[in-house]
Amino acid sequence: MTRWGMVIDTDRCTGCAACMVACHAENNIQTVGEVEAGKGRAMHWIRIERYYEGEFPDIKVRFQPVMCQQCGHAPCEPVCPVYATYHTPEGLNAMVYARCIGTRYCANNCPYTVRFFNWFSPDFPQPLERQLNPDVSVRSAGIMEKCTFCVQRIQGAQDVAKDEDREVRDGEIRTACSQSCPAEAIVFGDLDDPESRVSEFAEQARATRLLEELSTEPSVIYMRGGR
Amino acid sequence: MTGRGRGLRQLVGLSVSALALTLAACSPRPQAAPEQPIAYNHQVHVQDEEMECTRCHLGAETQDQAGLPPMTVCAGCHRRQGADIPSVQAFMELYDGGQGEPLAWRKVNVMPESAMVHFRHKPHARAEVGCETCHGDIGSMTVAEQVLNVADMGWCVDCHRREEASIDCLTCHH
Repeated sequence: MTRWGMVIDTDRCTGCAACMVACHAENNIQTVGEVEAGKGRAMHWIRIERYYEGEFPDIKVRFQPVMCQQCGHAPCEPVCPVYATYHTPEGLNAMVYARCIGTRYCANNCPYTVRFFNWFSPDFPQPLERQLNPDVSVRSAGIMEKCTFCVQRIQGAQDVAKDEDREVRDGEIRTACSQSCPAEAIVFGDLDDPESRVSEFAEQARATRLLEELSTEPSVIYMRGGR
Repeated sequence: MTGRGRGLRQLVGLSVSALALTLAACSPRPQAAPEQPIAYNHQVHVQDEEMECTRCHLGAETQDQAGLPPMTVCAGCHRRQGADIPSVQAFMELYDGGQGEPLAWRKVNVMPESAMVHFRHKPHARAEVGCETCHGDIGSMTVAEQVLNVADMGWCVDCHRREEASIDCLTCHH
């Protein structure tokens, strides 16, 4: 069985935010403008958190990219009254836009605050509408959305593999954030495959998960403490 | 009749019509055929000339979308054939003398945007699902029209269950 997972090496992350830009472009995420962003309505499926260690001038900045953790026991799933969010057999926390009625219970129950509500109809001023990714739906107002682990890329790779009558190879699927990371801090793969790179990382002593004490069993693993 | 009796009857009548409306909405009917810029006849091409669907719908087996043929595909044959047919003459006039504007064929099968579905032809072709499974016997139609509303998810799921294809929501909705 496949269980998609991601490893983020925070010791490598430089906080450049290329992943955020790539994610916006890949997943047709709308921008809401300065005023609405000030009201907390900005949407970023992946964000970079900053932490400061020490006092100036002996200060060190640490970065942590945070996106949907694709929890094994996702707090967002049981609270949805219309089953718009559920768990796929491949371990993804799926979001079915067409089912969503916008109660926002899921976002309220997410301890990682990585779910976003479309307060407005998407507006991609010319010529931005030409760069929309045809493999990803443009979400309308009143719908929740979040990181999908680039499910369209997963399906694309599975499609190619099926054509060639083989399994998907480790490293063949790269999410937009992982592909664009200049420090190669983000690795994507199958956690159930003991040979995969993500599994190797997951077994190391540096591996941690976000808010592990909540028992949400995230599929995103953070590497921390090497330097 | 008392006011209350009439009110009750109206209420029942309303609920019945509401139920009928709901049921009608549950399984969408085929949409009406859109008017095309040139009266294209599938029957002549498919039945009489025995052309394959993929000859014009170039992506039907290899791409996500089957696609509507670009004018060059039509002109490829009609530069030599069918010069005596009025619609062909109209087409060639547009092709040769036009301002470079492509012919705006209108799609017969349109997935509503609100469904947020990414239907892909290629996996269906790989599973050897014939075009006629969803599009009906288009080859015998003079005017191409829907035989099945492509927005009818029940139809998709029925077939996916029968053929043991994925019925995970994310397969199509993402």
